[in-house]
Amino acid sequence: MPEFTVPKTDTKSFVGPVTLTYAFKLEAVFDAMREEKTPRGARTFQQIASGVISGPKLSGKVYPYSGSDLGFLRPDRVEDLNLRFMINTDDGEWIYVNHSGYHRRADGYYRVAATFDAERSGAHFWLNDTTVLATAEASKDGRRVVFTYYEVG
Amino acid sequence: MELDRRSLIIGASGVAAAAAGGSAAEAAAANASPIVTSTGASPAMRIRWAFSVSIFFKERIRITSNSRRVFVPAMGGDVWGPRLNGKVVPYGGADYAGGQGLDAHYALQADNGQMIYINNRGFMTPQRAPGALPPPPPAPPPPRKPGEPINQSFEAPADSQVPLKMRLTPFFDAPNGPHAWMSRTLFVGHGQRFQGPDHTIFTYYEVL
Repeated sequence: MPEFTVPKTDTKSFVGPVTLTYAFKLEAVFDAMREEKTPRGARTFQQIASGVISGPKLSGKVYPYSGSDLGFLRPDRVEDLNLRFMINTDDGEWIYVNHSGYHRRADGYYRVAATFDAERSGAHFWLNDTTVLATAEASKDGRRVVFTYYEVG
Repeated sequence: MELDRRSLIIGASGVAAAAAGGSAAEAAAANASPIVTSTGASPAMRIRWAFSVSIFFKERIRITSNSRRVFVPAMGGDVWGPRLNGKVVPYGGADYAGGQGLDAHYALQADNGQMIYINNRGFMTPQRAPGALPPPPPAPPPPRKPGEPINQSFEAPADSQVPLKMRLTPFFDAPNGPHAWMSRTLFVGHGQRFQGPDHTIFTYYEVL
């Protein structure tokens, strides 16, 4: 292993501040989830049927069946989320959304980081390079999920 | 902003306690670093400072590919805070930033000797006023003549020169044992560039 001596700096006491501001929410409806055992664990298959986005920073609809959660249910019963779909905004734009995060089956902890591709020249350009987190609440059957999104400042 | 300034100050004293080499009691006290709560809606999201990572850099190699890939290896660094202490493995990984933003892969080694993988994803953008338009995409590089060297070493600007906003959503693979919680917890990070020497301080918060 190459050697490296960490230089003495006066920056170790620096604590970078992070703020969270509510941006919008998504009320999503999914089809039933299927799980298929693979050599690496269980791949999940759950299509997004519909969804409504509302809030101060974004309004629109999930383009029906524009994607799925193709996640990975680990042996410790934590799902690594891999959810992608398209949003059709109320002002007529298209936005691609990708979610990564965790849905713990044991305690219901469901937190994701979302990334977006929006038109550079459109009203939602800010989503392209903004860090967005969401907290999610799933119904017992997992078919209805409410995502609440926060802009990281 | 008052809350943030307060958490900054308290968080900094937590750093000092952890750096002092702390007993379990001190670690527990530092563990009570203040919770930052979202504004604007219910349910609120809450985050709490978990640890910080310093990473020191020396070289940068830019490839004028479609995604304008930049290779920035980690020479090493430190990990400290209420929930993790250790070091950054020298040359254990690098940032391979491209068109989609930062995409760094580093190896950390905790104080108990265990290795932890971090995939540090996120965005580093010039600070801009709310509502301001993003900068135009960079001009395509001039065509390269065959045989012309493609490696261009260049200095990343210090924050004092170009105000940068760096926010991250790191994902960890931590081994079974005391650090396993990191593999099932979402994090959000703040990155700050420093020079003399060239390094970045990452402040990582666990999402509660």
